[in-house]
Amino acid sequence: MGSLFDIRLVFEYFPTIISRFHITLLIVVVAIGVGLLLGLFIALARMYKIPILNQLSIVYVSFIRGTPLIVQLFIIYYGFPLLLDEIGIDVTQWEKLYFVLIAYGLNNAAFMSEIIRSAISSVAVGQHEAAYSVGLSRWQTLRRIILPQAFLTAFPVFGTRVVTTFESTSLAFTLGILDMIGQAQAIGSRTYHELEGYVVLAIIFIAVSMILEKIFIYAEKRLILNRR
Amino acid sequence: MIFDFQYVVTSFTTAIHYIPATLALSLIPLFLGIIFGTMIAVCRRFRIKFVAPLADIAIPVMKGIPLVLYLFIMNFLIFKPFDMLAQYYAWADIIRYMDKLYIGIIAISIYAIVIISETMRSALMSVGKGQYEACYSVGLTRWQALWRVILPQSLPVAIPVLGNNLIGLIKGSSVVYLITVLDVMNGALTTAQINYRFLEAYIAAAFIYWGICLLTEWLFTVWENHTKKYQMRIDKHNLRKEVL
Amino acid sequence: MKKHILFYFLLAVIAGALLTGCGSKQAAEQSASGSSPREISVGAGSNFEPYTYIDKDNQPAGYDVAVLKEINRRLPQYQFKYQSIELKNLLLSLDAKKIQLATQQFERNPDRENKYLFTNEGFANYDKRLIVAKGRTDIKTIDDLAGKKVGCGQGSNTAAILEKYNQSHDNKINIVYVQNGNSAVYDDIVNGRLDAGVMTRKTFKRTNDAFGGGLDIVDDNLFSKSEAYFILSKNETQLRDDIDTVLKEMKADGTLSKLSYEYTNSDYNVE
Repeated sequence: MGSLFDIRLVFEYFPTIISRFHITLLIVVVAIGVGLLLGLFIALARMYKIPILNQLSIVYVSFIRGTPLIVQLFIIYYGFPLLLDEIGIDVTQWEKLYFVLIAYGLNNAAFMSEIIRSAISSVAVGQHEAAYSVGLSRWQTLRRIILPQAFLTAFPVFGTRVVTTFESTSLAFTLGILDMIGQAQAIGSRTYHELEGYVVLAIIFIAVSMILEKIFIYAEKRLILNRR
Repeated sequence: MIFDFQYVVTSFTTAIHYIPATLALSLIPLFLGIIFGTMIAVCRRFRIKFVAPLADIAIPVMKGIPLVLYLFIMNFLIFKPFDMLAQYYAWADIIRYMDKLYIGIIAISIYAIVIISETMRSALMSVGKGQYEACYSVGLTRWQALWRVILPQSLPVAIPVLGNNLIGLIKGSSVVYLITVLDVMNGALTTAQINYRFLEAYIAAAFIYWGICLLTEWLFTVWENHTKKYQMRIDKHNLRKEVL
Repeated sequence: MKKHILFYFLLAVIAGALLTGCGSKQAAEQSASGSSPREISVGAGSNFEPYTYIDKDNQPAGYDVAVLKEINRRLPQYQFKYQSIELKNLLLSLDAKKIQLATQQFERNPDRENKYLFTNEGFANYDKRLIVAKGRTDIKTIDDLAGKKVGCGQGSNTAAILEKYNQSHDNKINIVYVQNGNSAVYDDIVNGRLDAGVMTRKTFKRTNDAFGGGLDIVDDNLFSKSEAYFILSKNETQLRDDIDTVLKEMKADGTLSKLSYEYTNSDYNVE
């Protein structure tokens, strides 16, 4: 065990740990992608009060927002296969990463739907009425008038969400995914030098979330400039 | 096929005994976060020497670290060095024999202070510069201005966000299960040690967290409406709310 | 115009991610249907040296895995695929059909037998004893543990025995779940954070020698008596029978002893 902290090991572990960055990135991209699509669907179901779907969405969003991500990961990861098995789909040969991606996607959908919903409702009612009065259909109104305006309002929150999602990927290792944290833990249990691995992780997480934040602030400024 | 709802109930009844632990893991950090977070935010607002520039660097950096990492680092840091110290000093025993629950509370508190200091900062920012000038013009000191005019105005802005922060902390506190603290999550799992109904245990834990979060949300809405009575203008679509 | 570009860029990223995801899935399915041996997903524990652990190339390794590899060599109709899973999630993975076979020196107990299928042949002695700090004499039996802090892993048979004890006794044992395997148990007992642990004699020797000999084993009586078995999902009776036959062979021709000496420096059937 020896010394508590060896700075040389930080440099030694860095390449090994960052080599798993693509897994983290994949989770973030898929979670945001699935979240946006499913989230828009949920938001619309609630906006237009589609029967049954509306109630289901309310419960779903409340559940996801009211329970820890780690519990959701376990329930989806281990419960979902049982459900699929019931309807006769054999999932034994599926990569476990797929289930993690599904879990993160489903989690993000709830948060995205809330962002989209409040962005859409922030567009004044007059805009809808004006669009209908010139003969646009519901779908046209949504696509041409409402969504572009809502997009601007939602953008900063969307940015925060991306950063949050990135940080939340730090829980994927609990399901045995060998991402950056999983790698650091594996090194830790092999060499009893856990702390160095955690320092590497902290540096990577700090750097990436700061870069992401900077990108979004820059993009937000550009968007606002273009509006004028 | 294997799923059995009866076991959810078994786990549920065991896990509710651990609700106090989960509340301790979220309310103590919230409390410490409000105190120290507000102090940091005020220092940054008034540009106090040394503290403000330091916080300007430290807070954004610390914000980037996920809660799990705080927990792992604290879990490691508290034991190893103090085991060494205990050879020379008797007081180190107090710390190294500490229950893991306290490690969880410490780690989450650090995280909470960082998060809540940002909440309080934006709440302080929401009060216009003119308010300060008005205070100084009638002869109030900085401290008086803060205590009597600025904070009472920023509180209503901060409450809904603090509510979200608390919900984030309650949910986040579940990660202490990774260092085997007996909270709701691990409490639910204790029955699974015997009957191997892990999935049911996780579902039971989910229901408890859901209940606590819904209750918290409701309490904060009530409180928010109460403070709103004294203030007319509140932004209805405060999008920045959804931070945690 | 710029905002459109950003919008389409996001769409492209999402589409790309989905496409690559689907593409690799198809490839995986094709390779699965192309080969004739039946694929069996095997879950092995992740932090129990020398039985099941992750080696430095991130591959599952250890005595359990070596035995399974030998079994697979003698059963060409199967193709074992290994993955490392934490003990507390191993049985859950079996429930969720993510794996068909699990191993981390599993002991038999009635609750486990209700839910899972055990091989009839064991492949290692797994009698466990209490472990205390060196020189400590107040702990001899499970009843002496009442009010004391005892470490064990989540999902282990020790945990089941201790939790059961607590259910039927008023004077409860303070069960402390340990996360990082035996090194952590050693550390905590030596430093007084735990009063006792439970290990086999082999594991005790190994841990004690590796970290400096600060522990004692309670010789007077056993904590639990069992062998280690492989666990399968309920419907895998054919696989169970095949493994049993091969294990008998391996015991008869000395292969199992050889593997046991290689990994644990002792025979499989001694304590």
